[in-house]
Amino acid sequence: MLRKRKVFELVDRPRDRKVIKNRWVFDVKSDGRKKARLVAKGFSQVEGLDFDQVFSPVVRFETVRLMLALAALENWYITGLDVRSAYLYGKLDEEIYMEQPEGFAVPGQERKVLRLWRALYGLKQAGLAWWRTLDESLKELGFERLKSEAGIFFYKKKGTNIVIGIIYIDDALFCGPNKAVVDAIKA
Amino acid sequence: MQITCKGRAIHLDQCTYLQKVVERCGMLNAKSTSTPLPAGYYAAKNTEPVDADLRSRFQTAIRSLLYLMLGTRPDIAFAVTHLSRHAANPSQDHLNKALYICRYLIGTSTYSLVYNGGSSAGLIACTDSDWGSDPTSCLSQTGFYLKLADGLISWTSRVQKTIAYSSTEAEYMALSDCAHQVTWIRSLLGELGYKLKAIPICSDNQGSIFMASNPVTKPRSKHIDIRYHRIHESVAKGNVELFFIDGAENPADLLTKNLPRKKFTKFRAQLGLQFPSGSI
Repeated sequence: MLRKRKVFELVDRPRDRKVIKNRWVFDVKSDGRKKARLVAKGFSQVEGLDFDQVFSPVVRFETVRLMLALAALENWYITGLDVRSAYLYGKLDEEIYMEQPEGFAVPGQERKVLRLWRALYGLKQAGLAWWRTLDESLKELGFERLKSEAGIFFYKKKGTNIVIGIIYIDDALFCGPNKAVVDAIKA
Repeated sequence: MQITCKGRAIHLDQCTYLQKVVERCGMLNAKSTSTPLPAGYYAAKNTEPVDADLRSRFQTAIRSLLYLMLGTRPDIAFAVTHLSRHAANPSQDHLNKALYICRYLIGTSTYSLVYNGGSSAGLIACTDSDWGSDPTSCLSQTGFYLKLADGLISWTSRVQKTIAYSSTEAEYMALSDCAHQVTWIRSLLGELGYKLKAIPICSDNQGSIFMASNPVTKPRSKHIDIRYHRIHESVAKGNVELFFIDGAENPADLLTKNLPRKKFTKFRAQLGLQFPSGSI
């Protein structure tokens, strides 16, 4: 998964930069599947060098309720989706180096480190990086973000068919009057 | 948070999380209570030195309760915020009362917020205040909520920032707090293309409605903090419209004090909180 998404690349160890450590986190999910996730030790990042802004907007509970009430009134169709390992999509602006993960070091090149291109869970700016990437791709799709609420995106085509997207980090709800349009956007 | 659609109604609940919270607090087999806190209860400040173990237990409980309150449970809003003020140094009594809220939740664990699509009520707000409710600081309590499609979408219960000299003043400040929220909702819906008329706000105090609708400054109101005059602007612009309702019929009362069971149950029914149909 990490390789397919081009999250990192093997490079020589930089002299002047701190290299972040990482660890594996194992968990058994509620449905019995086991998962392993590589997380970065974000607490070893240096402010100003390895990260800058870390705040990422989240939709307010009130807004979610408001939208649901609206959907009920307007009799809209609602559908939800969840993005798989969302944070790995986030593009990094900063230059960040990380040790090779335990048990997966490339033989003969153990001294080398990984240059990260995409955010990894645990990095301080992972949330923001993901949100920025999401924001961009939704814009490309023709969505517009509300000024008064950063977690709401809406899509308006000619005519009256609107689709509203409520984004809560990596969970999203889409609702709109027309089922077919909503499903098309979701895909 | 689970969302279920039943016909034209949308149900919103956190039953699964609620069960977890009750379990974590060790209250699985406890008897349920009918209100979140005993009527008229006031949490006094703890004068004993901090007990680290007690504090961590209290904070764990309050944290989960706060999350539930913010998500789908306006009925415990006052109780939880009232107790959470003592998170830095709780007493044994505070912890017991936090567990009291847990016991209330056990009895109402299947409640969900319901948005009824067939409703024609539109957006409506209610405010209330409890003057000088805090004997230590003499501050008053604000409580208000906004309702759409027969269900609450936004609710707040908090202590006011400055001291009110009279109940009229406390109500006036509550109105103003509410106007902030209404302004935000207006702009949000405006961006989505909805053109709204003036949003009704209900208050049970004639004096505060008069003060908000007429730009008069009298000796009795000239000292009110500038931030609270926001309501004037909203009324003048036609963003909100103020209505009087009887104090005994104001559901926002629930967000300002610990009510006795009868009143509490009556007001709770008006918040859009419902049992799933079928059980009871």
